[in-house]
Amino acid sequence: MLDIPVAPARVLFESIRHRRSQVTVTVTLYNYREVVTEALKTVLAQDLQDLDLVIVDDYSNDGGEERVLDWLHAHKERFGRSLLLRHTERQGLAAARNQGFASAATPYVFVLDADNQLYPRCVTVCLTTAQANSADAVYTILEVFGESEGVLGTDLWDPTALQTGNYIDAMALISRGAWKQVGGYRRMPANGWEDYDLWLKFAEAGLDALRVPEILCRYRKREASMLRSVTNQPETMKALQEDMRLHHPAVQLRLGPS
Amino acid sequence: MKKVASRVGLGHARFLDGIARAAHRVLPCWPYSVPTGGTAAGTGRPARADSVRDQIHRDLLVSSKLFDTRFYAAQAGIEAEVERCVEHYLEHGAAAGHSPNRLFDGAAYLALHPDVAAANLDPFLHFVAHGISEGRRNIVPDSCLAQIIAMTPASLAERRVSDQARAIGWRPNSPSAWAGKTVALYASSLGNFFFRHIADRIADGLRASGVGVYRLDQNSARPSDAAVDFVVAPHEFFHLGGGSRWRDLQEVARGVMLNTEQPATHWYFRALSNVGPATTLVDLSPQSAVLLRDAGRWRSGYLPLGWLPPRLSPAGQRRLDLAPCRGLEALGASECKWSHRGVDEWRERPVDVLFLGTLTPRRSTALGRLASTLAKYRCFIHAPTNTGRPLTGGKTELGLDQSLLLALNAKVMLNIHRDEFPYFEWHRVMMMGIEQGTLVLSEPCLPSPGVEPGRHFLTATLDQMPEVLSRLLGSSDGEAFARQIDELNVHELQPRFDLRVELRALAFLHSIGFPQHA
Repeated sequence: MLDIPVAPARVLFESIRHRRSQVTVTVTLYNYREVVTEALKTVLAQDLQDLDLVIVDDYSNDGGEERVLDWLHAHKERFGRSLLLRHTERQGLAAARNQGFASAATPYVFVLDADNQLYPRCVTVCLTTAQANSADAVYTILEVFGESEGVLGTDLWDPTALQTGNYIDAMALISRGAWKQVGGYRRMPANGWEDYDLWLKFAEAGLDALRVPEILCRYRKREASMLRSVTNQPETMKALQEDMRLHHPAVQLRLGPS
Repeated sequence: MKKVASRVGLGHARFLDGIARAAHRVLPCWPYSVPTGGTAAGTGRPARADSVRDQIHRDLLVSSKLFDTRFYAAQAGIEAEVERCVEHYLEHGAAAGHSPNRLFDGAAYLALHPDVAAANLDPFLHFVAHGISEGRRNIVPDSCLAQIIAMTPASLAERRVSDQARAIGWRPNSPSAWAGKTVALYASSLGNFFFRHIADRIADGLRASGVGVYRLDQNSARPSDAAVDFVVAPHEFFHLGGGSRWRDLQEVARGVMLNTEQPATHWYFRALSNVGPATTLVDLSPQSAVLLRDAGRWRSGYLPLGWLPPRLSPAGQRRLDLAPCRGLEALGASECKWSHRGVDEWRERPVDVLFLGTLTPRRSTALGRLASTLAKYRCFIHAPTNTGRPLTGGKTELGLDQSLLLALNAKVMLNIHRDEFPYFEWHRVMMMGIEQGTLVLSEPCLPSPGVEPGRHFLTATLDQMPEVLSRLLGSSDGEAFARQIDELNVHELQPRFDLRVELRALAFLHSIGFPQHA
């Protein structure tokens, strides 16, 4: 077990109604004021009755955390536990996700970014699949929406295939024990690769992830997405390549400007 | 094509999308500009080099087996002799706008691939020399699609293997010409999974008629005691992994090949380029079988992948492989048992909607559009990408038995075409769907004689599918409707399409000979 550092944060809201939940949906937020409540509405509409919600605001400067605070006041009855944390300074996606896992009190965490959405059966199906198969993580097929349409993440978990590139999004149900076992998310030279790093650590540790053969998550495609604007710059690519070589020697990436 | 496509119900055809992915490379190939009459006038190159180049081009087209001599001769008004036609094409035909193959549209090819146009290359020469192996897209010309749509049920039906055999005196109950012998049945272990399903199914069908089967792949040694070599999906088999070593083997070239490629794809051309003149070539598509006959391949026919009685049950001829398989975890342990799920239990089938097929850009878009509907039901969508990972197979692959098990557990089988070509996917519609009592909901397809949309399966455009699914799955008429269709299917299609009968007819035709066509 590795110690996973947790960034300093303030509790803006906490409500505890019961402790029955098996899953916490953790939403990481950074400047997504316009879309975060759409994401939260889809959490509210989950058909799983016992559900916790933890929102980690990574020091947004668009007032998104205020909007979430209002929303939580209105909907706290829906959740066993609801919590809003705000980092005291910008920490990045890896730290925000780790904060979400560390703050959850359930055996499983469902990772949701503030611009994405879930279909109502999502968390139930993932939880049932994880429990029935003792899986360390479960992911569904994603519907792409926004500026393009299609599906992603149809392929099965395959450690060999992962060595040539990531095909599994961060949006997944993950056991907190497994998250802890691999040392959580790692800060990367560029945002957007934390999920790939985590899946590689799962593969290297012999953990097992399962694909649910249903389209139950929605992934928003944006023109100015993080991956395309920052991550694909040549100098970032070089730094990423060196970082991956160091941490995952088996990986054979074919990196280049996309 | 848009106009024609809309006639078969494909209002959403966006066949020009591919323009966006036109290649940006400049090819390191010898320019295939149309020769200027045998001299090098104005080119600055010696005449000798040009004549060598012309000879290379002629040899390339002749040996490609993709130059449709009869089709070309009819356009050019010359004798249908391959060398003569190829020479004529290179000298005059390309410039005159004649086409060397009815399935190839030179103008569309140049529009899709601007680098070929910019280099002033002859589109068909480029396609044969480079385009096929580079995976470049080709579009079926409007004229050919119109011809395909105009094919009558009778002309399609007469290409059927059993009908051709009947025409020359074969009787359906006569024993297989291969009975007591062993067929070496090959399919590549790499690439798309569905043709391995087809090969496994054919193996079952052969065994059911007393034929021995070696079920082999591209890495197997050729057994010395095999009576016949039978290759499923020649494009994959001869091209993936170590498959190339089989290409020039006479025994294989005298055997049987089952084409699974759709006529609109470059793979179709690839597959045909591996077929020897003596090969018996069968196809899952009746339309393709007519095209093959029209191209002069008279040892060809349409092989429907029909019923294998009894409808799947543990009493089948061989031990079913139900080993725990990656990807089936979503079926609960109690659902993962092999049981006869007839239509009486349709409502009890746990999976509402099943889709099994490699993910293509079009299927991705279609599934994305249907997502909000599909999310309401319990689905099983197995759509591996294969992209960048040709070495699939093995542990991440659903085998035939696992796929049939899934079908038996599903109420509705969704059929979405891989691209805009409205191919009738026999293996999915019949083998995985109708035969398993699973109600098939398909996009509109090309006709397949004897299987009627609206009677044996349902068709709907993508836009209509949400409403159809909600009627089928959300109301009590859904079950009654499914029961009615299944009763018709068992009553009408089971006797009409018996895989054992087709395979016995195939053995007969391969051994005795095909009826000659004018």
